[in-house]
Amino acid sequence: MDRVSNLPDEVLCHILSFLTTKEAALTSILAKRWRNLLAFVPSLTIDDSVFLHPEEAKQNRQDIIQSFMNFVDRVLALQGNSPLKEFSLKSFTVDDTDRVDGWISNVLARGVSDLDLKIIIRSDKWNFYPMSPKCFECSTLVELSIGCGVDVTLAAARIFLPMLKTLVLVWVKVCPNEFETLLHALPSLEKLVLLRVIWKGRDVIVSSASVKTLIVNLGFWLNTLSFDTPSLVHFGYSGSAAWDYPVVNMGNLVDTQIDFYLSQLHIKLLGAPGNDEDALPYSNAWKLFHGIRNVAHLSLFPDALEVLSMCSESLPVFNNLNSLAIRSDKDRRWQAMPALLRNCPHLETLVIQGLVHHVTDKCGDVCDCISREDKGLSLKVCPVKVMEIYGFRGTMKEMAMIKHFLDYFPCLKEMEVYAEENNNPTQLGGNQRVLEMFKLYNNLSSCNVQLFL
Amino acid sequence: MSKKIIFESSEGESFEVDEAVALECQTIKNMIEDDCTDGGIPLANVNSATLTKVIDYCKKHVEAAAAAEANAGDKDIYGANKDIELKTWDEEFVKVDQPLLFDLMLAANFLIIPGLLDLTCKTMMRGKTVLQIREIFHIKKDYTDAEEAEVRKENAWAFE
Repeated sequence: MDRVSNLPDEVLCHILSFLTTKEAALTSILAKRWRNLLAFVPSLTIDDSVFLHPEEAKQNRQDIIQSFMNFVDRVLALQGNSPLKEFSLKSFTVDDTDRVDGWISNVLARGVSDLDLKIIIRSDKWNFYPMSPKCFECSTLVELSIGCGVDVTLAAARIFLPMLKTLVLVWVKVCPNEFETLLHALPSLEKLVLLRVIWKGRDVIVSSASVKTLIVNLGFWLNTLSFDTPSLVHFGYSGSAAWDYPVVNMGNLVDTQIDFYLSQLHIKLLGAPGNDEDALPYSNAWKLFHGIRNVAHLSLFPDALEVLSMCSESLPVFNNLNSLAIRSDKDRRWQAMPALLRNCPHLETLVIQGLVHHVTDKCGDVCDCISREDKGLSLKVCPVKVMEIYGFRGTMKEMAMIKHFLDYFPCLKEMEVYAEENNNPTQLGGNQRVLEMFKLYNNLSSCNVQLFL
Repeated sequence: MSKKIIFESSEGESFEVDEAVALECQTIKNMIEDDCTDGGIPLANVNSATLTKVIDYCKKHVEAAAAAEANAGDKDIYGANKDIELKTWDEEFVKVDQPLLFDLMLAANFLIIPGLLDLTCKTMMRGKTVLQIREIFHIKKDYTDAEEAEVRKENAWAFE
């Protein structure tokens, strides 16, 4: 029996919605019932990247592009004015902006709530698709995601997006002034994602009274970057930095993840002594750390730790910080660690991804790499109760560091050590010496030490 | 102790599950809210083999949700591991023969388990050629040659 034929159309459409546009279009050849089924998928995804790449230069053939555009026209025409929930258009082949505008207008008029646009208009030179101003006037839109080769120009004077909760801008051109105007016109905005935005100016202000989640990845340096986001709860920052952070207003923050990107030149500048500090690229990064000082959960990547070492003198006290996660890199220092641990008076959980870091004489008393008299001083004032160590390789150096933590963290109750994932577990498990040392540590200290292979 | 719900498969076999597990099914949830689950819920169109799998799926997802809840406090850059584990479990879960996958999809559609419906629908046809789909699902072509040529022309961008 042909079991598929007994399925209701909704289920078949649901199956089609997981296929690429090309795969779904191909099913039209199966039987009459399938011919126009794609048009009744509740979330329509049009993506021309699949047929574009595998076959050679097919995207250059005008008849193929025409056929694709006719296909989209036909699917939209079949849908008529029935309501549409989600529409995703990923088009790197089409060269007709008027037609793309028409498709977007069509779905906006049908009450779409999620709109996802990634558009590169084909032409001889590198052109950005000027965003249709209609996208900023839609009473039903809840999620708007614009990526790849779009120029977000607010040509229309009017912005009306009363329901918009999520705005995602990825690799699009944006003018900072217009961006500020846009944010102020979004009363319901909760989530804002800005990834590698091509800012048309060098001074950017992210200002929103309602936004709760903000993810920023800077593709290049800015002069100034300000955050006036008093309701912010979740904050993720990565990529390049700004020379200055004049306003960082995020007093209600709960969790934050910071991952700066340092080039070789920056590393050299940070490492070289005797530089005029104000001239250094990250000399104002402390303002960002001051702004996030109310955070409860903080994650720092290796380069962020390196930048933080610049701010050791002006590091804020993280009074609410409950859990701190840091990721180490064999080429990055732990110089910031002593001050950081001293400035977290209520820290309960410390997560360390990888104990191996670049050893310098300034990486302080946190680790055991260099013997010194004030050994373990900053650990003694830190009330951390639980430690989780990931990426453990079973080297003697790591064992010495673990011993050091056990000796000097006065409140430590639990320590969980997880073996590196790529490490052959039998190899580490077969290392009797390491296993015995763990047993010994467990017996010697009041802390419960566990090794997970 | 948590309340138990009894399912009855098409073969008449009984399956006792925690209410929390049964609540993963929107259809059952509505029935529980309407208080009409006493004496068991007969599922005339779900056989025992399928029902066993469905219950496995619901159990796993209830447990995963509880674990995620418990760890919500220290969710950080490393917290993603748990999602990956559940995803891997899901992938293994649908590595079954085509008839069972089909039954699971029907059951998910009938019991309204959105996660399982997505999972089974996703697995159903993805990565298969038209020829394979036709063979697996025994779909008979009902186009005339002229009609077929027309359809090919309509979708030339995809076929060529």
